[in-house]
Amino acid sequence: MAGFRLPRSVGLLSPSLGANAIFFVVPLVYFFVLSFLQVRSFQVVFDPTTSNYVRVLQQYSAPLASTLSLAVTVATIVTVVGFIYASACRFIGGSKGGWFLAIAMITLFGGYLAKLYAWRTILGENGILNTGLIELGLIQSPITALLYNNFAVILALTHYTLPLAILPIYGSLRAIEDLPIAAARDLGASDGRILKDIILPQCATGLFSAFAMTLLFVSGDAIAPRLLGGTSSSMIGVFIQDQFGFRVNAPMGSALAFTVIAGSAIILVLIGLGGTRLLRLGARP
Amino acid sequence: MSQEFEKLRKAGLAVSSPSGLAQFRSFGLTTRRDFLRLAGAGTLMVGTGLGHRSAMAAETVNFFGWQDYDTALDAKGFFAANDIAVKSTYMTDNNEIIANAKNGGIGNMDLVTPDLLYGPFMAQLGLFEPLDLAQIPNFSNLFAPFQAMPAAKMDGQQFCLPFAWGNVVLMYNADVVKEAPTSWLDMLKPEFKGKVGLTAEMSHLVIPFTMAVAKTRAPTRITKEALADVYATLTKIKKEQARSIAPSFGDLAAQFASGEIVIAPAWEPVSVWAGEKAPALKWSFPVEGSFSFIDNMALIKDAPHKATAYKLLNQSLSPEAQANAANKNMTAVTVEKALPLLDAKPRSLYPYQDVAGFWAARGDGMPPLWPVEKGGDFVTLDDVLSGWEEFLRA
Repeated sequence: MAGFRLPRSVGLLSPSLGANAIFFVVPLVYFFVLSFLQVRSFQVVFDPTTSNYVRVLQQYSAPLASTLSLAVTVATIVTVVGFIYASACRFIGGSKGGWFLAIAMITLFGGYLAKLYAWRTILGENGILNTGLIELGLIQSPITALLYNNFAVILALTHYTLPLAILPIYGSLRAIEDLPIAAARDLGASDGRILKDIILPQCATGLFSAFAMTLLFVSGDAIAPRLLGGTSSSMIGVFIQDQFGFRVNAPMGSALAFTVIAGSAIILVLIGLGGTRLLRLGARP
Repeated sequence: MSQEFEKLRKAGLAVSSPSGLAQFRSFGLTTRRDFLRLAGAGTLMVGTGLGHRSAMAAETVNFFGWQDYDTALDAKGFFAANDIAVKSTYMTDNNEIIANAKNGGIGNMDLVTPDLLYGPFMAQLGLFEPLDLAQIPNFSNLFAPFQAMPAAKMDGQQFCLPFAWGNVVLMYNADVVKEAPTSWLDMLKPEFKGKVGLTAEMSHLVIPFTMAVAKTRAPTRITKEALADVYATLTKIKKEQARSIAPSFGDLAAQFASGEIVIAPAWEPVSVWAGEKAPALKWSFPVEGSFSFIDNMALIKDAPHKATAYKLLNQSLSPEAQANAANKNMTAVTVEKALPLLDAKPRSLYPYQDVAGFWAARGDGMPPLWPVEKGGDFVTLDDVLSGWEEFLRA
């Protein structure tokens, strides 16, 4: 009788599964448990409670809602623009498509903070944009509405996450064969019909990945709102950071973080279900 | 081997630095034989201790505090000369000292840098060792007010060593604001709408505005109603007057430099950090009073490297380390003998001509921390922190 043998795929997957378990699942479980504990005299005490979550909903619902709506806005912009760019790389760029993709990736160089400070330099009262507009005689005095508000935060986060979103979309577009598109065109299908019936259904996974990645990054960000946001641009990431640092209240910080995760998960499920339904409706003859 | 090095040094082929680093000079291309000879000499010197001494330090001190306060102690190669290595972890808030000390830091951490607002509370919690001043002869270097500072002591024992200080002042762009502001509440004036700067430093905003709104010189002993008024005023400034809430004073300096703001509660160094091309930045001490911070060195209870930590505590009050910190960070020195070693800029920022008079006007010390326990008529630290969160959310 042959001995028990693990399937080969399990063996191949075990390093990544192990890394995920150690570096993702274990810390996540730790912080989830922590979110039900309390801090007394600067020490975590084992006295399970749901009061942290009650406090999150009572006191932080406004920044939570504004954070998630801002994250949805950025994710939507990035997914649409990313799709247009990736489509251009795939269908118009031809053999140069890879180069256009590389150009988008190059913008990742320099890091996140450098990009945020660059935007401050561009959008400030004495920034490049205002100075240029004044020099051209288009405005008389600087536009103050460019910086220290949600517009600046959305702009900077869109700029940063766009290359990251282009990758999964481009990957899924590359998997689409040219033959069905050519056949549809030969049969008289318009570009819109080809997009709706062939391209979008086949790159839905890439679009969803791009949207999800952007949404999760933005909903947890604490740096852009601090550097570019105004006095009312308090995103939830800022409060999470404050709870872990300033308030030394890791349980409350964890509760805030898990509420954001839950909120993001609900949005993604709704988007996933809605997207599937839309594609099904669109695919009907 | 030191003879070998001496030969190289006399030949002009090598130089040594005070930190113990040896550097070899090269004159154009060396032959392979020359290179091997020098490499061999270098290897031997490293092996015999002539190399960088901190790499073979006898003892490593665990430092948890503000960035750059640790490196300031290494004035004139102090670490290498004393076989000391410092393993630093940097804090972002005073509360982190309490959290870290109470969650495994006691017995592992050595030196910390508490603010004197929080220092007495930390001493009461039993986080610090009382200091043996016989092992800190440089204590006598301190300006008299810092030697006598009541908040640095508990039950007659010294727990904190004042290391650096500064003030929260009302800074303004003198090119735009022609008449010096005299009150914190001047920030509410219509002409400053959209031009006010704020920072995310709780005590640096709440204490001065408590003095102004509640009209008290005991800003940490106030009622709930008074605290509500303070936060209402701060919220009004935030919503109607402020341009943004800067995440740091460096950021505030950038906002002054770019003209985004013209008035803000700030530290004196902001005027330097704004740069040479910035507008003329001046400041006033408002009539209601101001808040001064004093950062200290303190020894954590059961510090594992106490003897070496004492060497560093003493070094922290040396003129060289003090000047090093002030020239680097633009903070004020606590040691009079450091004054001649200061660069012109950091020297010009503070009232060194009458340090005793300056602190006497402030009651010779710091306000106590807000009460930690509930029970009295006054708001607690938790009330103030909760109010601060609400202010940020507003």
